[in-house]
Amino acid sequence: MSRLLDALTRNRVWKSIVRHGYPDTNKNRTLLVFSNFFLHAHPVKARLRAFAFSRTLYLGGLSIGCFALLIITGTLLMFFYRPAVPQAYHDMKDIEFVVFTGMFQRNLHRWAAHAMVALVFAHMALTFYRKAYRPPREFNWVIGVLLFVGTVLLSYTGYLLPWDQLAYWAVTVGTNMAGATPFLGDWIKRLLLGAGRIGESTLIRFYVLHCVVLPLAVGFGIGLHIWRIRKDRGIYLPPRPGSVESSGDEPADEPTAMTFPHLLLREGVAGVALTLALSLGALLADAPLEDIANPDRTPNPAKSPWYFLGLQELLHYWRPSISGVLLPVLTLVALAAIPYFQINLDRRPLWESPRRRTLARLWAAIALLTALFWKSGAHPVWAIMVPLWGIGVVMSLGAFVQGKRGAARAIRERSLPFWIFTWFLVIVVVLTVVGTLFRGPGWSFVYPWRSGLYL
Amino acid sequence: MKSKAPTAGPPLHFTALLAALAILSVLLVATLALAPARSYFTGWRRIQRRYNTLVARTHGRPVTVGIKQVWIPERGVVDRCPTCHLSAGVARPIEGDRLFAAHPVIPHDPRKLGCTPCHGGEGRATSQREAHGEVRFRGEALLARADVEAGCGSCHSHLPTPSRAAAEQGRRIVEEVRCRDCHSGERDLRSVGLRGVPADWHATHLGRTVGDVSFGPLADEEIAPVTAWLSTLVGAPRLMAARMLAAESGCRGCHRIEGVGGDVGPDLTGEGRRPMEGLDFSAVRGPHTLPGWLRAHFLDPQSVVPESAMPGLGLSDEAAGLLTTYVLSLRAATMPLEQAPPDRVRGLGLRQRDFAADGESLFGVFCVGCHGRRGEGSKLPTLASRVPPIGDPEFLAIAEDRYLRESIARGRPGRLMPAFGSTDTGLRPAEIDALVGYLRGFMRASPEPEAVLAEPVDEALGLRLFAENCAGCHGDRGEGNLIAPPLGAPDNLTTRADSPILGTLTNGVNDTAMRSFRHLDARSLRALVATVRALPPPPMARTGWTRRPGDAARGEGLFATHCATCHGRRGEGGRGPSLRNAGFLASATDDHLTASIVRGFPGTEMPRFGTGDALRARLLPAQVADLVAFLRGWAPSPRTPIHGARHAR
Repeated sequence: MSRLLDALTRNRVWKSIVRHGYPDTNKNRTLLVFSNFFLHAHPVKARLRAFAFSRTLYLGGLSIGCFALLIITGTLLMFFYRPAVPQAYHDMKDIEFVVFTGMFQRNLHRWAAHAMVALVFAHMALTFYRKAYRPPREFNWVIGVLLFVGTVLLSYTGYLLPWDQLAYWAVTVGTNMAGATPFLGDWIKRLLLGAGRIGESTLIRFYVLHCVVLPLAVGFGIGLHIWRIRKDRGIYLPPRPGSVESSGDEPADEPTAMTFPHLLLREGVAGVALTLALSLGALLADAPLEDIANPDRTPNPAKSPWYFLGLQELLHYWRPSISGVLLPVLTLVALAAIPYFQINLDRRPLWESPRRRTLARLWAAIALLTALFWKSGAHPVWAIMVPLWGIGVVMSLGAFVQGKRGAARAIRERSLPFWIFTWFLVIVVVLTVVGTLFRGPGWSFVYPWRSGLYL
Repeated sequence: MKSKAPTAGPPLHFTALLAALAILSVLLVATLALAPARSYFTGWRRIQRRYNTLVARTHGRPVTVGIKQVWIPERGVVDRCPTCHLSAGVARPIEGDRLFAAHPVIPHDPRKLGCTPCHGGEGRATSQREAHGEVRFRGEALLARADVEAGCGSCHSHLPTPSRAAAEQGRRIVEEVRCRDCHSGERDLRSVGLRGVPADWHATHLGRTVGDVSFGPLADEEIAPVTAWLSTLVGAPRLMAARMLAAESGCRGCHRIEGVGGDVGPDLTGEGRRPMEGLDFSAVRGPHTLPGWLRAHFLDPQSVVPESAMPGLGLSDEAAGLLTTYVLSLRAATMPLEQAPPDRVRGLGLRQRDFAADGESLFGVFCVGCHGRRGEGSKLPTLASRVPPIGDPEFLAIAEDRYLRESIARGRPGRLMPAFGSTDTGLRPAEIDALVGYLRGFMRASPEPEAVLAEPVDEALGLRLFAENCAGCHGDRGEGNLIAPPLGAPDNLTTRADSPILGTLTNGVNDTAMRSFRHLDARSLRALVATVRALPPPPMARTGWTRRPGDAARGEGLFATHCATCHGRRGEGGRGPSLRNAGFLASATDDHLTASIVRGFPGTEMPRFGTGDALRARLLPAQVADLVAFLRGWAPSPRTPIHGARHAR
């Protein structure tokens, strides 16, 4: 056995390809990571604390895993798909009914796409809570925000390609939102659609965006993202107790381990687990495909993809130029700008400042927002009020509770950026859930357990 | 794999992770193995295996297991139905098997036409539920066995449909003269109606001789019913029955179908392929399918669609089923005309009617839905207005032909009655005339003159009837006035016998205000005739009732003085209605205008200009004639047939 192995590896051809010995010594392991194209993004040794699952939940890595799965399944699907009307829809049917494992490929692609949107968003939230955007990583955070936008756009452009009713009307809602942009609206809409309304020209535009432009852009962005992490000496870790955070080398006592096998093993487990979960999903649940797109028949309700339903829910709060354009753009700008404001870097506990004045300001702000939402035309208005007041009350508790540990301490020591971001997250989740599950014909409020789901 | 455990620091869980990786990898491989299995173990594969087992018993040829399809690119047909329905053009049928039995003989080859064009369903699907359209949001449903003939409507959208009575009569004649003794087997008449029955078929038939077989002639009046029956032979008896029922249910009065019909209700072209979403099934008992919805809707429209204005037709279950088949057959064919079957070419290309164009049939196609089968009128459930009983003899006695034509052609603005003559979607001039003729048939037959004149004369009754019915226009003593001629003129009494007076009474005088009084019974008519005969001659001064010509120029001045206050300076209307109204001017006769001016309009502000009062000067007969002449200057002459203008355009 070992002779066979020797015969295989001790020749010039093998060595010309692999360039190092079997990775059973630290030298060869180092060489492996060093000289392997696929592993060169890794350091030779990594800090043990960065390994911990609880630190990152591997959300970034899982997102990249989804991206890889999407590239693979997407390429497979491209063999069977023609971006034309009505061939696109017929090809979807053929993929489902005739292409061997076609349904599985399509399901896997669909669910991986949804998973990637969710994972990237979760990755961003966790990065915020871990304060990992601190200098010198500010711009990498900005790249991350752009990657999130790219992910959503990838998913959204893919949404049109099946050319069924779901696709057609979801994209109609989305492009109409974009068309509400002040001054530039018509131009943007025409740029997206390539015509006055969704048609063949839109399909080819979305196809090229989905299969060429955005994957290249996001792939490049991921490379940049990872490369900057490597240049910043790995993922952000808070300073260890007793050592000062410095811009110099690691403290000598920071325990590390070889990337091969320990980090790669973890990555392998995570990657296989992700593929397994998505494959199971692809086996058990079929991606939806409705009737062929029919511009004359508007489904009621016409819903955009789930990650836009929060925005679509906001559409009935204010007019589209505010809900569909101004708010999302401001939100993205605010997200990208987080690392450039000192308050977000300090993250001082809110209740260090004078208690009375802070309380007054807090509830003035909440009253202002309450008035704003009250006048917005939201129905039901509690969907947005409860999170606002709930978080306000929990925040205020911090001014009164005593105690050195547990929840009391946690509440007391949270900073203002923490609370604002948390409120933002809750609002996003609540609006998305309401928009997805609780909205029926005419965007009326329905209970899914009574009237069924309108998806 | 050999590996050194780390020497220091916290545990790295190397072994546990390796085990996890191994287990997860095994699970992943198993999962990935299931994906092809799902593609492989399909229903159709089992079915094809079963076919091969069955066919092996008879040493027939097995099929290669795989997806079979009918692919007709120029028609956009990709039908994978033969994957399971192997006998549909792919493999030899197996008699007695439910799935593999031979397809019934039809004039089409499924390999050239495909399956879904007739049967509906989702041709590209390879699972039963999907292919048969039993999945929400996905494609159209398969036509059920009972409604399968509706599928013919996908292409044969204009099958000529005779009236049911004629076809039935033709069938009886064919039974009697025993046509089927020869026309069976090879010479079967099964689908002779598809290519259109030639008008001269009977003559051609007589011209043939084969040995001593009799081609005996039919009586002339028998030819039309037999032709009608022949045209129903299209190989789809249920569809034909459904079309004949629809043609006597008045659907097209409100609904447009293939471009012909009213626009009160929704256009029904393509209704047979209507998607299920948007249909409310909450009140539908029975299957929640399109046929189920249609049937429930036919039985009680308002229970299914509360705001529907559709009249309940009082249908039996069977009739509702037939009409459901009919609606399912409205499938909005889209093929180019050169690919269309003969009936569609005739209907769309040559604009031939697919319904019989006699008055009775037309009444069935357009009118009975609202006006009732005998023109008895109806009350639409969701509307306050009643549909007038146009078959009522009283109504028909007053309504002139021109009025009927006008109402049909231009509709009744403000009411539901559509304008059937205004566009290509409605009735043609000859058809409107046929309809009017048919409506006239609802008038009560006039009593036999001999029977009337044989009645005893009841003078008191005669005087009373004269006062009620005649004096209003002809004057209390029959002296006549501007509306109606004097009755007691000497020539009347000397030259006219009883029977012409009776004739005028029962038929009315066309184009005048004199209507028919045939609703009166024989005794009353006899009494009236006697009263009229006994009228004194009028005073000499008033004999001169003539339809005198007026001077429009003088009429203009009179109009400005007397009429413009209410009707507007240019007759555009104001307090009073607009007189410069083509519809009004076309249907109002000179007599009507004269009468309105002289007598006023009771119940409105239009005063009596014939007598004058403290406020108003009396208009002389010559002045009235001038006014009428002036009004006529605004409009096409009332003598112009209403269709004339349309053709001139």
